Amino acid sequence: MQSARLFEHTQAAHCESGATSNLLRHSGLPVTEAMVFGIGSGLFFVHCPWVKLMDLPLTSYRSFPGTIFKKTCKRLGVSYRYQSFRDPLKGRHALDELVAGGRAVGVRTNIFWLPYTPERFRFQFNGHNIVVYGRTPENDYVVSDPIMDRTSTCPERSMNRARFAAGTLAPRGLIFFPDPAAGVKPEFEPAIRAGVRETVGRMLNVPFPFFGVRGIRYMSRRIARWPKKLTDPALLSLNLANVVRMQEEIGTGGGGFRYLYAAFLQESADLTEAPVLAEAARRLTDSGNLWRDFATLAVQQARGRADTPYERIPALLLEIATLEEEIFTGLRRRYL
Amino acid sequence: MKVEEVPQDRVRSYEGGSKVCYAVDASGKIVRTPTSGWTVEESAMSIAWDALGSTLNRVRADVLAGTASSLAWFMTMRQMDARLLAQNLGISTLRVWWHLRPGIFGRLSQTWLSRYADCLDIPVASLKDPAAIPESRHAEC
Repeated sequence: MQSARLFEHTQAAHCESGATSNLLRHSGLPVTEAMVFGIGSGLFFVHCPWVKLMDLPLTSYRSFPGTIFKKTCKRLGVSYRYQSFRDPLKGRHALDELVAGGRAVGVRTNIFWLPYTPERFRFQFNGHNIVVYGRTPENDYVVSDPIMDRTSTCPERSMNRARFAAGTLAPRGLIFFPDPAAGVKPEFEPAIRAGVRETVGRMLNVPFPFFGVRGIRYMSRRIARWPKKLTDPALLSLNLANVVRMQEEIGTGGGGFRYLYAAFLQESADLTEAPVLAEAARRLTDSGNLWRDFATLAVQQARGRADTPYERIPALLLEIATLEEEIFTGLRRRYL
Repeated sequence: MKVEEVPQDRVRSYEGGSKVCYAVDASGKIVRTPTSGWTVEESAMSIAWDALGSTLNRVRADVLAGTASSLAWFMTMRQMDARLLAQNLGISTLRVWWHLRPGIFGRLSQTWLSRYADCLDIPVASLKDPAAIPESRHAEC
């Protein structure tokens, strides 16, 4: 087996930006996770009560899975391959051939079937991205899972299960990797601008109340009504806990991706000498801190151990919405 | 959040591992920082897992009382509902719903049983043996 270069595993906060930056670095283009997350416009806010995930309203702090990789590659002018398979057998062979050829391949999986993850990380979620870059003598896959602190191995059987699981966001054996032409020197400045432009637009301009800053206000209004609507206290705490899980647990780098995006803004400020971005980074860190406070209050409330009144939770969300509206309006006026 | 404020609560669910957080270091730079977990996050996770545990116990009681087939328990154990299980098998949700009835399930052919067992990654024998369904322990935080 001609295992070309050794794959360098760097642990990341988020699976898709982590897998993408590890793959790009492997193909000779050093970019950080934060850079990928920003250029790929990863930051968002969505609260859609009519879409249920495990019977709970969908709340998301990020954009739609799968978009970060493609957008990053396009904006940096890097060619890539992104392919899913109707026929599981073909999908299996495609991955095996690429890996046997010494390539590191991004793979979308259902995290529930990955045996090397801690038991409690596993749930039926079809948007988990990992990198496969080799085979062990026992024919297991060698896996670099961006959210894990070390590389792992995964038996063939589990990998196939994870790659061809059905349901929402079904991966259909999706494989992806950047394939930059030799000597490509990506232009960062326009890529950063494009990434920021899209995020600003989505946070401020979507004409529905469920997205961006409006979405945060909408969730605040809904949370304010939950004690009346959800009369079963167990259901109330499940709903609150779910929002916190989406914000903290599922690999966000803390504060619902706000710190991660702030890291991107800061790095971009240095790279493109735009102090406006540094200022926005500082304020977005503050917003992350508020999100952390929100999580603390919500969990205290869910556990029935709150020492502040319930109204503080929706009020805090309104504060966050105002702050983020200021941040992104500022970016629109002074950067774009 | 400053680097020294990044929680290191050594939570159980990380199983000794760590995750990555982003935090501000002494020079004001936002850097990647390992964390061994945050009790707030762990609490939220426990609430969800406790709920799953009590659902499992409720389904177990139904199975033992003969009002649900053991398929119902194994499906819940794999965090699926009838719809997701049906999608994974490529069959109609109604069909799964039908098979969740104990009487119907008891008359299923070996082929069906092995399809379910394979999809849920469990031995066929345990599908047919409701008495072997363990009581789930409630995770305490």
